[in-house]
Order: sequence, then structure tokens, then C-alpha cells
Amino acid sequence: MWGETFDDFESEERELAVAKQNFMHEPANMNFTFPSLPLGIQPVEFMNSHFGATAAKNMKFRKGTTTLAFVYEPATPADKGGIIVAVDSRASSGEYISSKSVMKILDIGDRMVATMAGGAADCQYWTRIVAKYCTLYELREKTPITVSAASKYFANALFGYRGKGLSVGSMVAGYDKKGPQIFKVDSDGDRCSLKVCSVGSGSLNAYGILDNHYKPKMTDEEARKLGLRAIMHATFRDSGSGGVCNLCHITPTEKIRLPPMDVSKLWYEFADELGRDIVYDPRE
Amino acid sequence: MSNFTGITATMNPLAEMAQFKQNMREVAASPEWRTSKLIERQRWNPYSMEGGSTAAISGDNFAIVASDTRMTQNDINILTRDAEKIHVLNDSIILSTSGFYGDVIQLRKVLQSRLHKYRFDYRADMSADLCAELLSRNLYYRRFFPYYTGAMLAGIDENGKGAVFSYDPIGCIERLGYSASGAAEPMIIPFLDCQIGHVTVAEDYEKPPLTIERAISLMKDAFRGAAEREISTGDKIHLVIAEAGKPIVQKFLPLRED
Repeated sequence: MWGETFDDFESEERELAVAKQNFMHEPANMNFTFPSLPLGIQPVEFMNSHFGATAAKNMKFRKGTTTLAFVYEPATPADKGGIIVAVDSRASSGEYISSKSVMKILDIGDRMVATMAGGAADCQYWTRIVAKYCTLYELREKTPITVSAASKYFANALFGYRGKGLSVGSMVAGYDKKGPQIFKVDSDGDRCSLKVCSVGSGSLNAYGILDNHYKPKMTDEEARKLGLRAIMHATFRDSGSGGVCNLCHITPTEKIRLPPMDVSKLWYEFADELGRDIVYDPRE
Repeated sequence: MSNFTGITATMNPLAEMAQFKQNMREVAASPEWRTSKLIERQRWNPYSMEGGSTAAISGDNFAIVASDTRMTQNDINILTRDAEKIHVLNDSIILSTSGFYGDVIQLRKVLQSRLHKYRFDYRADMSADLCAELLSRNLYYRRFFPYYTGAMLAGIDENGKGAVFSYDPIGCIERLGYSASGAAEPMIIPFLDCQIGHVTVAEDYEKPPLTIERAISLMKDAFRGAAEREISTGDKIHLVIAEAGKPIVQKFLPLRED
């Protein structure tokens, strides 16, 4: 800076340089470290004994979920196609339902969502971190981040805490320049691209419905109904899932969030549609 | 050693002694009489549970928070009858807590210093929405050594509406109309679900609007009900009422003392 005058270096330019210095560099990998237990105390065992199955009722962490997402192509030109993301809304701590209205579809940017399964706080926090990264990426590169890049950042962040007891099962879904994509990311550091995907305690039930009725080409109406139906059946058979069904439809141009549907009302709706009870009576 | 007479050693005495020492070492390492409860008790435990319950209700232009003022140890031994579990952080933010009081004090200190810094930096009080996110993060920062608290944040948000935020010990945040935390949570919530959420009544049932008077009387009912049936809840209700555009009012109401 010595030997320079104001004429050499316009104040505006100088401000820009400073701003670049401060904001435009590759953001440092989070330099924050979580305070940890004293040496010699095993974190996972410690957490289990104070916040796990034997903990006081209201000290357990919130968890339990069914989430699903699938990609489909429009069957007719009138349909939009894209991705359907459907989730339930129950958070249980032990046997107690601590919330029945959780929003498990979290936004990452305008075109992307992440679903939350496993530890609720873990998912909320890390999705925030990913969302922050994506926003900074977009500002820096002047192009929206791809789903694959975002999910890879997510997986890498989680991999850094592998074995520490995090519990995250998330699906990062969205539309980017490569088209509709779903990536399943979990706290073991696993990350894979899938077309039909379900995560959580009720995922097996949801897969049953999805695999039975999924077609690569569907109308929007069919696709939304499939999402609702799979969630409804999962909540019906899995005690860890319930509440309302939140549904998000990501089309090539927009993200549509549908109003929440009560699953116990959905049950009767689908029963009416079939003209019979959905479950058979074993005595008949 | 059934034929051992005391006169003729059937085993090499040195080997016998070695065996004895080995057995002694094993039994000292994990004595058979150490029950799982004893093992549990000897484990490092930095927390203690000081009981109590809190609840909060939000309405169109108000938020009310209540807690009992009893502090117990191990649910049995009453430490004090006027503990302060509701902390008024500024004119629009109220923090209410249950759980380990040591962590509660630490958490309050962290929030107060951040609020102070915010006031210093921006020359305005932090709004309830911002503080809610701040609390969520601060709870999560202790992910591997959590605060042993069931926290709730209530207040008047930026739009002048009542707000209640509920958390789990590691900062899972949710904005709700009403919430409770602590020992009597499983008793208070169903009552509020019935009276405010109207989840148990038919659709065509006439639902009374939630006024501040009704919210206060429901809150009193909830705590009186809980005090009847929950051992670590009692003594006094600490009621804090925040109404948009009015100063925060604090009240103490008597409760069962047994």
C-alpha cells in the first residue's frame, strides 16, 4: 500500500478488492469445532445413557420418519413431470409423540429440497449448513449448484463426523441443468443417485406401494396420488410415522408445495376409492 | 478337589496360588455382585434432573408462558420452592426451561451475552424469530455434550404476532401454537391439544376463539391438573404475559405445595 496514491487506486476499486478478499474466496471448511466430552468418555455411549432409550422421557431426541421421493416423466403433454417428494410429519421421542406437525421437507435454494429422517436436530442443522454452502456457491460461481454437488458436500460434511453418533438419512432432490435428480445421503457417508427412493422407519412399507404402482411415465395427478398413498400406507403400518402428509412437487420450472393432508382422512379416501376397506379382516 | 483332606495337597501349591490370584483379579475387575444399576451409577454423570414443567401458548397478539417454581433433586427431594425457570431476555423474548439448572444458567448467559452484543452492534433489540434460530444453533453446537434442558422460547415476533418455539435438547426447532416441556409435558399437551388444538372434537363443534383471558385460564387449569398428578410440579405458577405493544407482566399464583 505504501507508495500508492488515490489516483492509482480508486476508492471504489479498493473497496471491491477488500470485498473480494473478504467474501469471494473459497469458503473455509467450517473451522468451528464442537465442544466435546472430556477425554476418556465415549461420546456414543454417553449420549445413549443420557439421551437414549434409558433417558428421562422428555430428554430423548426427536426422531422417526417416513420420507420418499421419486422421479417421473410426464405421460401426456399437459403434465409437468419432475420429482414428487412426500413425507409424514411425526417426531417421536421414545414412545411420546413430541410433535405431529413437523415440516420434513427443508428448502435448499429455490430448486432443491432435502428431506429429513433420523435425528431431527441433526437434519435441520446440517441442511442449513448445506443451504448456506449452496447460496455462497451460487454467488461465487454465478450459476446454481447442481444437486450432485450439493449432495456431495452434504455427504462429505457428514463423513467428517462418522462414528460420532450423528443420525441423518436425507434425500436431496431437485432440478438442475442435468434434469431431475435424487441423491440419498446418510450419516455413514453413503451417497447414491436413485430414481425411486424412500428413507426412514416406514420406508419398507412405502417401498411396497412405490414398487407396485410406480411407472416411469405418469400424469401429475397419478404421481401425487402415488406419493400420498405410499405415505398413508407407511403411517398405517409404522408406529414411528404419522400426522399429516406433506407433499412437494418439483417441476422443471417451479417448486409446488401442496397443503398438508391428514393421513387418517386419506385412509378413508383411499378406502372409498377402492370400494372396500384397505386392510382385510382376517375373520372373513 | 473333592478328596482334599487338608493334609495331602493334590495340586502344585504354586500353581494353585497363581490360579487364585488370577481369579481374584478377574472378580475385582468385574465383581458379580455389581448390578447393572450400580454400574450405571458409577458412570460419569455430569447432569442432574431438576424436574418442573413449563408451557407456553401463543395467540394473535400475545404469548403467555408459565412454569411451576419447584426445584427437585431426583424427583423426590425438594431443593427450593421458588426457583426461576422463566427468563425474560428482553421486551419481546421469554425463555422458559426445564431440566438441569446448571445448563439452564449457562444457556441463559450465552443468550444474554449474544443479545447484548446484538444490541451493541445493531442498536435494536433482537426479535423473537432471530433469537429462536440463535437458540437452536447454540443448542446444536453442544451436539456431543448437550445441554440437559428442554427449552422453549416465546414472545412477540417481528409482525406483532405471538410466537412459541419448541426445542429438543440438541436444538430441533419448531414453531407451534402452543407447547410444553418438562416432567408434566405428557399431561399438559393432551389438555392443550383438546382445548386449543380442538383435535378431539367434531368438525362442526363450535370452537371458542383463543383470547388472552382464555389462554391464561387454560394455563392455570393445565398446571393445577399437572400438580395434582405429577410429583415434581407444584408450589407456584410463574406466569409471564407478553402482549404486543405492552410491557411484559409477571404473576405468581399459588399451587399445591405437597
